[in-house]
Amino acid sequence: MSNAKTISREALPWIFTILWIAAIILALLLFVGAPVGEALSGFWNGAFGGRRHAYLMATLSRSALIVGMAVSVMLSFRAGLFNIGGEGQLVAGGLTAALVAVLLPGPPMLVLAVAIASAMLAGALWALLAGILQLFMGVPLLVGSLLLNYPIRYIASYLVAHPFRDVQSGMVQSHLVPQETWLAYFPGTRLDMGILFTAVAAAFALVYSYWTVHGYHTRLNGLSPDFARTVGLPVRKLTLQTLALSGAIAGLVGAIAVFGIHHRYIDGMLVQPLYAWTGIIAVLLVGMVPWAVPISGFFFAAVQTGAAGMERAAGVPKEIALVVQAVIILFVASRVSGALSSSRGDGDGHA
Amino acid sequence: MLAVDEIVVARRGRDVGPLSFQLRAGEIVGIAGVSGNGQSELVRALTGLAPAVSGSIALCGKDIVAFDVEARRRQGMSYIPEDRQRMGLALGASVSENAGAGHDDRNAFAAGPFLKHGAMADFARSLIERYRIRVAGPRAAAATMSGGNKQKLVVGRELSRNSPLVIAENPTWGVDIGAIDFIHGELMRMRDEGHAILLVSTELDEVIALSDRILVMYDGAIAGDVSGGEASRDRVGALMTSKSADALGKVA
Repeated sequence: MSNAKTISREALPWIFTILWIAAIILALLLFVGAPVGEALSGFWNGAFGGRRHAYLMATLSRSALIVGMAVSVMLSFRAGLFNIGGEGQLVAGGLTAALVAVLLPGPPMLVLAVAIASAMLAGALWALLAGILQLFMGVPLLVGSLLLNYPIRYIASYLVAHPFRDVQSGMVQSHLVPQETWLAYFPGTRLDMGILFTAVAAAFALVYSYWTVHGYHTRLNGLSPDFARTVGLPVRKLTLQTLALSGAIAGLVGAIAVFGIHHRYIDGMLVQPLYAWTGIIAVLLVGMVPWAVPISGFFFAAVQTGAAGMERAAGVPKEIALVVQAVIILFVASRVSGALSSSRGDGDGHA
Repeated sequence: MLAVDEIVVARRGRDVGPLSFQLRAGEIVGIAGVSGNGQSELVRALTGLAPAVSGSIALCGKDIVAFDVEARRRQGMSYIPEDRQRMGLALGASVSENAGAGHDDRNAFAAGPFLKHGAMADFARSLIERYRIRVAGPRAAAATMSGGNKQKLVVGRELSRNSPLVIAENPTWGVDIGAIDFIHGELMRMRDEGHAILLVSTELDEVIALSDRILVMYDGAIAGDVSGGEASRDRVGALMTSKSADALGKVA
């Protein structure tokens, strides 16, 4: 009885949220005069369908990057570190991976391994920079990590526009990495093996968050920095280590994008699709709960590829699809942030 | 056990100190005073949460001024903070996670890099039993407990470390009477077992009832030192406002 009551009390706001989302999407589609049925089936097909599930593969390929970035961000956020510099760490990783693979001679597998390792190192160092700015120069992490996105973005633009540009291609991009280093496709699909790296990273993050001492300590710091300091946790060390871990995963995602998808560094390829920001939203959507993060990331990838499908099938402008995405985020975020702040509350009068 | 020598701590306005006092094994030293006369600054300097401007602190014969919080705790210090909501507990974490934090023996709850959830829960269960903490279980969130039970968990965690020195800051603040008696009993038992206890409290009755010796702080300095036997509300109360009395005297 009381159980059913709590379920309905928790479910009701969600039902209203979904109804609101549905109503607004309907209104938007009617506004642009799109055939609603076709638009919705186009959305579904674009996210999960296609000949031999080609679009599902596109969704998975995209979610490999989004989930990877979400995992990276989650590790920081759970530790109470508002590292929103995932984009910079991602770019540092992608750029490093491409340049190492282009410049380093040697057996392809070795080159691939070295390139991925240096991409992770580059991401970690870029994240550490934000941590050092906070701990030793008093720049808040939120600000420092965000601002560090810009220099690396333009450093990358410069490097592929000038010294390492593939001039013949006529585009602002690096040379192709050796074909032998490209990540293979799953047999019979156009989905590269990069998603396996993301799966490993996500599995690592799960184990780390729930079952390791380090994950436990960083979580205590995330829940209450004062508490962590009082019981003598090495807060500064934990901060730097967590940022490095976070950045290394972002760097890995950059490497996946290079070896799995683009096979070179193209100016803006990691920035324009907003992988890092989508990752942040995906994490916030599920309140930083580790097991839910991959699902949330996949959901966002599906919304994005579905939007493209809606555009193809029913002529719905992609911008409208982006508005749809924003509407979903807005409503869900309002619910989730409410749930988060109530769980932070305490029994007897917070000092 | 604890020797504090000429310690000065920064504070907004005027610095606290220089303060000097000693704490022997098997005694409870109370620090009385009206809140805001430098007690919390002193505690922060002792625990390592804030740096001391100058002076030295020796714990078990070792100078710990340069140590961080973790190293000081390892050297033999436990701390029951005044603010259980922010400093004593991580309210969003479970009882078990709160109980296991800051434990000395790194291997008690860890196998390599991995946590031993079972051992942590067992430890939490033992605290719940021993301190009669009313909570659903080790997995319940710390926020679900009442104030008194939260405090019992903090006290239990810190006292179970069995460290030579215990710093207890308003350990019974906002706690029901049953829990107050229990916490007082635990502190006295620790004293009888040979631990040194620094009791910082704004509850005058508590300080007088428990302490073997009372240091009264006024305006960032120790205004007087009263032995437990001679302490009375009037005597300590006079010292708590001693300097203002002096100042008034001079004016008149």
